[in-house]
Amino acid sequence: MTIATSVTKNLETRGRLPDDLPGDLAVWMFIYAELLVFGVFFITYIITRSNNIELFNQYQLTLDVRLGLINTFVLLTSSFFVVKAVNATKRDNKNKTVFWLSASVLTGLIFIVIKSYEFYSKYSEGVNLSTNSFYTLYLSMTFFHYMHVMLGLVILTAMLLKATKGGYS
Amino acid sequence: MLDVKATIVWLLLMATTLTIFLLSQFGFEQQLLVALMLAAVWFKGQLIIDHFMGLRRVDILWRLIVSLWLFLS
Repeated sequence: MTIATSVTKNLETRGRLPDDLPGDLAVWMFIYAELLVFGVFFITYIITRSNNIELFNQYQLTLDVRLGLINTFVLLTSSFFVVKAVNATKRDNKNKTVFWLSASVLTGLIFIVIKSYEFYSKYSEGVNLSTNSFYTLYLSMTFFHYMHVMLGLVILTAMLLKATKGGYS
Repeated sequence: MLDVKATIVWLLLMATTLTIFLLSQFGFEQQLLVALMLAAVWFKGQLIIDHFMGLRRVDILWRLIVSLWLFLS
């Protein structure tokens, strides 16, 4: 028995796993584990910044905030499309489920393209993990987030393939 | 969540993001801007937790874990 199934069984027998919790417990364990990692990154960033405020202020200005704005819009929109896909599934509308999942994958890919361009630009300027403590953290955190989105895209693509075969109802 | 409600939440998230970006670009007073930014992060995070992650009506424990994470971060 895996840890996840053991925890699920334990929670279910104690009546603490709510029926209306979307998805299954394994997904939530994964989400909470990711929150923990991001939390550690944020705390490390805050502590390191408090010891290097001038350096962080200086190098923050070397980032393109417009790309950050566009990518925030893109990810919010991609998430919105997933909500639309879930709603379509609840209405048993296969075509719309496929449509909104496709739209979500597409917008996720836009994020990947923009972020890859940013990484390439920085690399071309000679910036890397060893440049300074700001870029060590910035590149680590954004690359972890980049991989998080990549994994999300793999999951969404698998869901899309399943949806095209009428796997959700 | 209804499609209309989801659309309103999405528009709110986009509008809040754009507002904070514009304030940061037009020389808004720094300390006030930081306070507004933190409030916006909280507001957006809670909207995502409640509506996009679907935790609004779930057992409070599941919602609190994410909300507390947002607060501490």
